[in-house]
Amino acid sequence: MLGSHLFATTAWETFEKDGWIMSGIIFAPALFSLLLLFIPKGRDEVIRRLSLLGTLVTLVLSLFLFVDYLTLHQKYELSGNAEANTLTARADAATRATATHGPDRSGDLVSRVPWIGRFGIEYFLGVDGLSMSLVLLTAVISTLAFLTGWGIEKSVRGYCILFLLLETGMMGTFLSLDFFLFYIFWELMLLPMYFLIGIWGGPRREYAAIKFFLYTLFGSVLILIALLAFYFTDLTPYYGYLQARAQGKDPNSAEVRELENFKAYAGAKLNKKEAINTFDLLMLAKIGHESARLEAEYRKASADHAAKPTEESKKAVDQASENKAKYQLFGPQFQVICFVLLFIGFAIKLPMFPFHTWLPDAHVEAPTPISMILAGVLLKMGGYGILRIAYPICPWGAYDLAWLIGLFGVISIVYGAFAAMAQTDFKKLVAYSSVSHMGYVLVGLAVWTSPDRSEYWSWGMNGAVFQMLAHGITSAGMFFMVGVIYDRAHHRDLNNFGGIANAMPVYSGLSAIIFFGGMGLPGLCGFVGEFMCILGTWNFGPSGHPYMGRVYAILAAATVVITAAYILWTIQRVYFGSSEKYKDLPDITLREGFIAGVLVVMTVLFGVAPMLLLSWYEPTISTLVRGLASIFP
Amino acid sequence: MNQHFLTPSAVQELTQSYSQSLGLFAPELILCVGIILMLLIRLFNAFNRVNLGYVALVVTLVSLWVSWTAWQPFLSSTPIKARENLFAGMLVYDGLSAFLRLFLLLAAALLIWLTLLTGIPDKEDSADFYTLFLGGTLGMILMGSSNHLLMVFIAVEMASLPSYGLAGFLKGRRQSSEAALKYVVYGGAAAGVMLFGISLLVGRFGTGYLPEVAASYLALAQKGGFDPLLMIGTLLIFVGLAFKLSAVPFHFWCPDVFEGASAEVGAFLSVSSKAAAVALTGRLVLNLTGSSLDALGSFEQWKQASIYFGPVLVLLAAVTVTFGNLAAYTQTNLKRLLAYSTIAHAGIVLAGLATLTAEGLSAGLLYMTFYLFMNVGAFAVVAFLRNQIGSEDVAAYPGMIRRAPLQTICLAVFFLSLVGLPPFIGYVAKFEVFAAIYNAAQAQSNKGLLVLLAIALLNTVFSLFYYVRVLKIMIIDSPAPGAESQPLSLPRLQNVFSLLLAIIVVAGVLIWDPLSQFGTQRSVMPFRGALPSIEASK
Amino acid sequence: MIGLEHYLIVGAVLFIAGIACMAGKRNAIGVLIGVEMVLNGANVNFVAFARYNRNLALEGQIFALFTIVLAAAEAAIALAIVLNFYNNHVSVDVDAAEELKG
Repeated sequence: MLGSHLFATTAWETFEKDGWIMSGIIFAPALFSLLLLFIPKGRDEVIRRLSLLGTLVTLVLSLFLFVDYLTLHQKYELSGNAEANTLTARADAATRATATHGPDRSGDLVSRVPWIGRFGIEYFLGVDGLSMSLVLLTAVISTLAFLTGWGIEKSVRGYCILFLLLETGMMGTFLSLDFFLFYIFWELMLLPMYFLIGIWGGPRREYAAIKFFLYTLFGSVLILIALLAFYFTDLTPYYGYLQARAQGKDPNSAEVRELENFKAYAGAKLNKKEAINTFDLLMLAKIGHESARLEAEYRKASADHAAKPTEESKKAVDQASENKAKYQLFGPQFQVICFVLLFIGFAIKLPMFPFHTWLPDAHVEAPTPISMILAGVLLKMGGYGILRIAYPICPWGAYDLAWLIGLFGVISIVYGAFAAMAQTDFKKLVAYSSVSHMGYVLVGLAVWTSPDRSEYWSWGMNGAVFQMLAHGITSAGMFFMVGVIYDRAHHRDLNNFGGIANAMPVYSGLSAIIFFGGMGLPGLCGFVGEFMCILGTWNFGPSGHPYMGRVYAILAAATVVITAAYILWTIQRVYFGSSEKYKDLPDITLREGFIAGVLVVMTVLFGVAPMLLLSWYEPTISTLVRGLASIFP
Repeated sequence: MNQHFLTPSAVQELTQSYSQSLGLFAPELILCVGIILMLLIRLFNAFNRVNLGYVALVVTLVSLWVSWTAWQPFLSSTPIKARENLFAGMLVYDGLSAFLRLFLLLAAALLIWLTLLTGIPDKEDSADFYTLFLGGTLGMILMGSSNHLLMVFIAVEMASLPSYGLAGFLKGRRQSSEAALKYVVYGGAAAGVMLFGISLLVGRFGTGYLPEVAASYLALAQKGGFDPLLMIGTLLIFVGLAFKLSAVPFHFWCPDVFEGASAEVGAFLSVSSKAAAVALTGRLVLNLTGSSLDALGSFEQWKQASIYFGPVLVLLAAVTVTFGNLAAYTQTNLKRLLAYSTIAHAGIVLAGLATLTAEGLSAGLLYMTFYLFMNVGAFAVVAFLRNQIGSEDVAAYPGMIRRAPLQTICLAVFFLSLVGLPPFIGYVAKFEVFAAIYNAAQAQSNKGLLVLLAIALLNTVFSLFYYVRVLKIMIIDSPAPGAESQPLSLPRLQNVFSLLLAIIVVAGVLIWDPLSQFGTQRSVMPFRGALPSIEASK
Repeated sequence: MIGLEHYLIVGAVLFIAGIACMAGKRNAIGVLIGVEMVLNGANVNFVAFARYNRNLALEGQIFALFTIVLAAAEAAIALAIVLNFYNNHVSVDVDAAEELKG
C-alpha cells in the first residue's frame, strides 16, 4: 500500500544488491580494522598485508559499483530517457514502488532503510556521477597511499587501524544522502586524521594536528546549524503547493507524478496532520529549488509591473506574492544565511582563502601517505559538499553570492600561486599549489548564467569536478614524489637539492610528468579542468556587471604563468643541474615505481582522453546546472 | 490537607492511600532495608571479612529489578499518563520519578561495581561508605519524586549530607578534609538560602503542595502581579538548585570537591547528583510555568511566567557553559579538569531546560543518561591509573599509551565523546539538546535561545582543545625515562569495566532510538508535550 | 499590635545575620553557627505563617519541626567534617584550607 512501505522490511529479510555493495564499500575498511585488533603484536607484515587486502576489497567493490553505474547509464542513454537516470528520479521511483527494499530494487543504485525513527533519520545511500567519480578516486588513492606507507615502522597496527577508519569515513561521506548520516561520516574523518598526523608526523605535528582539528570542527559546527535549520522546517506547505500545481493536470504529467512522490514519501504523516521533517538531501534540494523559483517568479512579476504597470501585471504580482507567502519554505534570506554557513563549513575543507591556513601546516607535518590522502581526497570533500548540499538546497544563496564565490576563488588562485613561489620547503610549496588549484574549482562553480546560456555554466561546473578529480591525482602524485625524495635525502629544502635527475633518472622522469600535470600542461589532466573552468567563467555576468567573469577568467588564466614559473623553477632546482651530494641516491624501487606509474598513467590518460571521465559524470552535473538555471523563468 | 481535625473516614482514606503508596515506594524501601542492614551487620563479627560493597550491590540490583518491573507499564503502546500521589501528596509517582529512579539505581550499581574494583573503601570502612552511598542515592531518588516544597528540602538535604561525608571519606588526606569542609560550608549555605526561599513561597501561597503553588503562581502571573516577596523567594530557591547543578556563579564547590574527593565519589557527584538536580529543576520549572498536567496553565500564562524564568535560565546556561570550558583550559589535575567539564556539561543541560518545554527536559535527561556512561568511564580510568601510578596529575601521564594501552584508548573514546564528536553518544546527546533548543527557538520566536545555541556550539569547539591536550600527552608524548615508563598491569576486571563502558559509548547510537522513545519521552508525559508557541495563543 | 510583618522581619534579620556570619567568620565553627542561624530564620518564618495564616496552621509547624531535625543532622555531619579537618590541619581556620585552588 502506498505510503506504508517505508517502515516495512529490514535488510536481513531481503537482499538488495546495490545497498549491500554500497554498505560494503563504506564498512569493509572498518571490518578489516576490527580484524586487525586480533592479530598479535609484532606481526607487522601480516598486519600490513591484511590492511592492504582491506583497501583492495574496497577498490574491487567500488569497481563493481562503477560497472553497475555504467550499465545503468547505458540503459537510460539508449532508451532515450536520460531524465530518469538522475539520482532524484531514481530515489523517487524507489519511494513510489510498493516495496522500497528488495531484490527488484537492486539496480537503481539507491538504498534506503529507516534508522532512527525519532528524527526520521534514514540510512540512505545513493550514487550518481558525482559521487561515483569521487568514490573511485578515494578507493584508488587510498590503496596507493597505503602502499606508500609500507615503510612505516612505528605502531604499525595503530596506523593501519586508523587508516582504515579514515577510509570508512571518506567513503561514507560520498555515499550518504541523508544529511545526518553525512554529518556523522564527515566528523568521523577528523579523529583518525588527528592521530595520524599527531603520532606519525613531523616535528611540529601536534600543532598541525590540533590546528586541523579545530578548524574543521569549527566548520562542522556551522554545518550543524544549517542541518538543524533545514530539519526543523515543516514540509506540509510543500504538499499544499504540489496539490495546487497538480490540479487539473494530466495524470502522467510531471506535476502529478511529483505529488504522488511526495505522498509516498511522507506516508502516514500526511493523514495524521503531523509536522513533516526530513534530513533527506534530495527532498531538501527539491524544497530549496521550488522556494527559489517562487522567489524568482515574484521578483520578475514585480519588475515587470514596475516597468509597465497594467491590470494583468498587478494580478500577476499579487498571485506571485500570495504563492510566496503560502508555499515558500526557505525564504531568500534564510537561503542566503544557510548557504553562507554551509559554504564556510565546506570552504574550510576546500581550502579557500582565508580559511586555508591549516593546510600548509597539516601537509608539511603529515607523513607522506596521509598527505596524499589529505590532498587527494579530503580536499575534494569541500567541493563535494558544496555541490551536493550547498548549491541544491540553497540556490538563492548561491545566486546572490556567485560573484563573491568567484572572487574568493580567484583570490585563492592568485594567493596560492604567489605563496608557492616564495616557499623553500618542497612540501609547503606543493601545499600552496593545492590551495591555488582548488581555487579553480570555486571559479568553475560560481558561474551563474541565464538559462539560454547554461551550457557555459555546464562547462564551468563540469570543469570544476574534473579539476577536483585531476587535482586529486596530480597532487597525490606530487606529494608522493616529495615523499620519495625525502625518504632518501632526509630534508625538503629546495635550495639544497640539485642533480637528482642524474642519480635517479626514472624517478625524475615520472616526477616531471606529474609536475607538468599539476602545472596544467595541455595533454595532461590538469589542463582540461582549468581550461573548462576558465571557459565557463568567461561568460559569467551577473546583472549590472556583465564583464565580471572576464576579469576572473583573465586573472585565473594569467596565474597559469605564475604556476608554470614556480613548478618549472622547482623542477630545475631539484632535478636538473649536477650535484656531488646526491650522486649515490638509489633510484625508485619497484613498489614506488608501481605507485608512481599508476598515477602517471592516469594523468596522461585523462589528459589525452578526458571523455573517459567526462562522459559518465557529465549528465549528473548538467542536470544540476539545468535545474539551477531553470529557477529563473 | 487543610483540615484541622481528622474524621474517621479521612483516617481510613489516608491509611488506604498509605498502603498503596508503600507498594509503589518499594524500590526505595529496599534501599532503606539495605541501609539498615549495613548499619546492623557490623554487629556480627562474621561479616568483618566481607567487603560490604557486595551487600550494597545486591541490594541495589534488587531495587533496580523492582524499578524496572515498575517501569513496564510505561512501555506499553498506550502509555499511561497516570500519576499517583504518594504519601498524601508529598511524593508523586509518575514517569519522571520512575525514570529517574531507574537511572539512579543503574548509576549506583555501576559505581558500586567501580568501587569494588578499585578497592576504595577498604573493608573496615565499607559499611560507612556504602551506607552513605545508598543514603545519598535514596535522597536523590526522592529529589526526583518530590511534590511538596517541604519534601524538596528534605530530599535535597538527604542527598547532600551523605555527599559531604563521602567527599571527606579519605580521612587521612589533607586535601580530602579540605574539600569536605568547603563542600559542607557551601552546601549548608545553599540549603539554608533555599529553605528561606521556600518559607517565603509557602507563606505567600498558603501551601507547600506543588500543584497548588503552581496554580497560584500562574494566577498571579496572569494578573501580572509578581510582588518582590515572591520574586525573592523564587530566586532563593533557584540559588539552592543552582548550587546542586553547579551552575555559575554557584559552582565554587565543584572543582575543589572533585579534586579532594576520590575519583569514584567524583563520578557519583557528577552523574547522580546532577541528574537528580536536573529532574528536580525541570519539574519545578515546568510546574511553575504551567506545563504540568496537574496545573495546566494557558499559553498566556506560560508566556507571562516565561518572561521571568526564560531569560534567567538562558543567561545561567550560557555563562555556565562558557565559564566551565574556559576554566578547564589551565587545569593540570585530571579530576579538576573533569570537574570543570562537569560544570560545562551541566550548562548544556541547563540550556535544554531553558527552553521551558517538556522536550527540553526530555533531551536533558537523555543527555544525562549518555553522560553517565562517558563520565563514569572517564573517572574510572582515572581511578584505575591512580591505583597504579599514584597520581592524578596530567604531568604523570605522558606516554601512557605504551604503559596501559587499553585504558588509554578507552579514555580517548570517553574524552572524544565528551567533546561531542560523532559517532560517539556524546554527539547524539548534544544533538538532542541542540535540536530541542532550535525547535523551541523557532516555535517561540525566541532569538535569545538561538544565541544560546550558538554559544553552546562554539563551546563544543572550544572544549576540544583541553580534552585533546590530555590525549596528546598520553598518546603522542613519549614517556619519561626510567621506571616511569614500565608497562602497567591492571587487573583484568578493571580492563573489562573500561572496555564495557567504551563499547557502550561507541555503539550507543544503536540504543538512541529505543532509549529516547521508551525512556525519556515517556518520562516527560506528566508535562504538556506540545511546544508552547506564540502562534497557538493567537 | 504585633503582626505577621514583625515576625517576618525577625526572620529576615536572622537570615541576613546568618549570611553575614557565614561570609565573615574565619572560624569554621562560627561559619556553622551562621548556617544554623539561616535555617532558624526560615523556621521563624514558618512558625509565623503557621500562626497568621489559616491554611498553614498545621503545615507551618510541621515544616518547622522537620527543619529542626534536618538542621541537627547537618550540624552533626558538619562538625564531624570540621573535626576531621582539625585532625589534618591542626586548625579550624577556614583560611587554612587553601591547598586546593585554581
